[in-house]
Amino acid sequence: MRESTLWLMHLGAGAVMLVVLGIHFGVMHTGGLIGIDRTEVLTFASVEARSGQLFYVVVYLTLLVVALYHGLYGLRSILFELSAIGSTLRRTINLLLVLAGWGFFFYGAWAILAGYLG
Amino acid sequence: MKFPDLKSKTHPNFKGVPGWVWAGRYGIERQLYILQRMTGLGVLLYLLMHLIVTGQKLDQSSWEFVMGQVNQGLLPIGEFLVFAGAVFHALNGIRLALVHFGFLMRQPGRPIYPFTVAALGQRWAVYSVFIATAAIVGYGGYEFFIVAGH
Repeated sequence: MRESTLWLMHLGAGAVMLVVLGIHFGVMHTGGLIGIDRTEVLTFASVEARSGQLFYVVVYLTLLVVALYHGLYGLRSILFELSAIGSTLRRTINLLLVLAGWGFFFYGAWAILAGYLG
Repeated sequence: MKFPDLKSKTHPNFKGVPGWVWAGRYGIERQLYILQRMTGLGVLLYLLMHLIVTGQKLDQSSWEFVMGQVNQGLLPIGEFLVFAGAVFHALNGIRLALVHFGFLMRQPGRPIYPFTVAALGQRWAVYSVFIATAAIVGYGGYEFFIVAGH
């Protein structure tokens, strides 16, 4: 895939994150503004209740995908920009980041879906 | 007269990490570039740890144990710093995207004295990022430290 396409996807993922991470932060850190009790939000009952709602499943799955892509592509950009590294090392970094991304995606998706399906 | 050898032996202008952190006496946007990357790396590191921690939500005893662990010592302070870093990263990211696509840039003028700098046309956005970050992090801090009592 062209580098400019990957960069545009990075920006697009950031834009989507503004929405889904905004919802997550809104609930977890500024929930008092919308009537959510900050002292209750991390209890097991509260977490379990959110896990069972389709809305939060969609939000968390979307957040998982875009956050992993945005973060790992950002890390790749920093690594590639830092030094004049050769093509072999670039391919190795690409492979490691793709593997890490898929690994964390499957783990996170399993936790989200298992929480929803009970 | 002896002339110096001008042929580069390795990578010319390669400064590595020091060049990334300190490139010279540039404006505030250059310092925000560093801050954007530092907060991005911090939030990425937190994200990966957060995924492992929230994977414990399927079992009540595991969840309560891990919540007890992450609420000890200085970890809540670290969590709040990640929140602050993420808010700054997001708001500054909006500014960067708008600059990237040219929305905040002033039209370049002819180089007639006194010179104007087109890039400074977006300086108000820099201050807006600071103000909005302070407002959101301030309210988040109130909920985090006062309401929840971390």
